[in-house]
Amino acid sequence: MIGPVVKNLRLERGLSQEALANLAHVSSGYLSKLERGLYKEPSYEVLSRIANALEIPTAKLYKAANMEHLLAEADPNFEPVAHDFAPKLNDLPKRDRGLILTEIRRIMLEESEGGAS
Amino acid sequence: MSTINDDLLDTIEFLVNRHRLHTRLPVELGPLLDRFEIRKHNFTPMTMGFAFVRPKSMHIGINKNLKIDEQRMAIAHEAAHIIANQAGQLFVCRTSDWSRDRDEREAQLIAACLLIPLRVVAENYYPGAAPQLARALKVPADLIELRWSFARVHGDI
Repeated sequence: MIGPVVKNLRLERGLSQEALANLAHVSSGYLSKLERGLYKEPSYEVLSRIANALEIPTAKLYKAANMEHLLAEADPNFEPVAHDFAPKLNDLPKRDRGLILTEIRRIMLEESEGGAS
Repeated sequence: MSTINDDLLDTIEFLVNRHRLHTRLPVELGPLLDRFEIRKHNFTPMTMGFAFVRPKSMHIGINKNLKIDEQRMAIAHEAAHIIANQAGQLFVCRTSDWSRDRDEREAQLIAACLLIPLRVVAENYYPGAAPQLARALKVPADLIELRWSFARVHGDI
């Protein structure tokens, strides 16, 4: 579950809820509800802002929350690639499709980071 | 019964000899797999694994919930898609439907040829022996049956 993971990471960094909310450009109320587990699958956009505020990669936050299989399909930047591979993946269970797409996303991101360096 | 074309069989034989894959039992594919990045994933029982080919790298993902002999077969099967130079960039394999698709059948036959030396089935196979051979070679019993059938059809035995 994402809520307790965000809370633990926030506390590890000595941040108050309000401080993290400000850094991530979300309201304190939203963050409070998220940490209490009232939002089970926040959007990629919100989670990437929270990950940035916590200074960890978004993928790491998804993995820590055991939501890795949701990462690729949630990432709008990856949508065209996911669309290309859809015919080979559509009849798979959602979890397996998500895990494969997330792995493809990781590989392609590493390639682009390698190419940029 | 499916088969493999002679060029591909020649490639498999070359790889087996080059990496001395069949000198020890059970067969270890390690040297052949050095250029592949292999990871295990928490797939559902429906998915065996996948292979993903990039211009400068080759990736295999298998279901970590499979039994060890099935994992060995899955890795060989996924590598086989790439060894066979099959068309496509992504190969996704279910646990049960490989026999319905030509590329899947070909990959499974290659996996059998890589993991099961011909001499083993030629010298030791008899009806009912597959489970025992499978335990010795750390592969699923149906892969032994497939290797035997292929050797018969191909005229090796």
